[in-house]
Amino acid sequence: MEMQGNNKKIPESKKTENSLDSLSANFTPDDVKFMVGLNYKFSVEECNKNAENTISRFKAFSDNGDSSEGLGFNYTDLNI
Amino acid sequence: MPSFTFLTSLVADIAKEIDKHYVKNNTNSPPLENYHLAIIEGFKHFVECKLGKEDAIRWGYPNPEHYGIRTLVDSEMEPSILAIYIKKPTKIYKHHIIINGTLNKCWTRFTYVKELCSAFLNHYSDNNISFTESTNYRGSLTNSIEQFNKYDSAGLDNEEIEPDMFAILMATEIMIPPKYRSYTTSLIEKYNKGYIKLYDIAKTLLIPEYVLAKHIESNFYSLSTAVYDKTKWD
Repeated sequence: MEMQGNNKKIPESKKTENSLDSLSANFTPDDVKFMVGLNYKFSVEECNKNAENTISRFKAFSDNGDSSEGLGFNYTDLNI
Repeated sequence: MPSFTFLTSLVADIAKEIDKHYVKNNTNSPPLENYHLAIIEGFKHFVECKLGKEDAIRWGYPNPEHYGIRTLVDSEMEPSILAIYIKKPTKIYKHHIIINGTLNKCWTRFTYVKELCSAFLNHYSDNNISFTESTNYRGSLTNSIEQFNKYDSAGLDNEEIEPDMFAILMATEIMIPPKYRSYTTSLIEKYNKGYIKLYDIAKTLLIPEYVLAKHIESNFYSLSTAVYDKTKWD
């Protein structure tokens, strides 16, 4: 599953009803590309739906000035 | 489509860059047991250089770190999603990797390296090579590795890897350090004789046991190891 949005117009023949396509379109005008790693244990449909939630949280984070403060969820820095 | 030869050549170059980055900040190459962090830090440094962070530093941009990759953990990420890589200029960063906070350490590491591979390959796709993205980690790992089971060393140059499997294989190769294949092989021999468990080797490498199992079950491990064993490591 590849999800990406960019400034170029998508030919009508290639447009899909993939909700992630429309979500990424809301991020324009900047180039946005999402690469999503899926857990094989789940169906593609469930993964697709859950990816939308994940990306929505990121969009809120981005709109909030790259901060999750006050948004009801909390991103933390990776510590390996 | 990218080939086995391209993959192993690329991974060998990356392994040298990882080592160079470690030695720059230390004195000698680390033993395998200390290499875990070197892989993460060194590969991230490598990818960020490709994305322009080093140039930003060199040219004196304000806040050059923002040309790198912001890595975040989302503890509320649904279990069906392992991670996402997002290329989008936000207010601060241009590249983001967000990892599922419920993963264990080994899967977190592997997932992170895989998403760094995505960021790196995405950079190539913007410029020259077209890559698409594979999203089912286990399925792609199985499919991409098993295609090599029919090979010995002959004919490999003509074997092409589906672009959507390339990032998975690339991450796997990086995580089983090319420079330390002789040592890893000696551990595998002990495992085959029943002296140690596969889990013990996975714990030494800090990679998911599943990834290690798939890799050494197939011809791919021996094929790629043969390449790295011929590589000159400083």
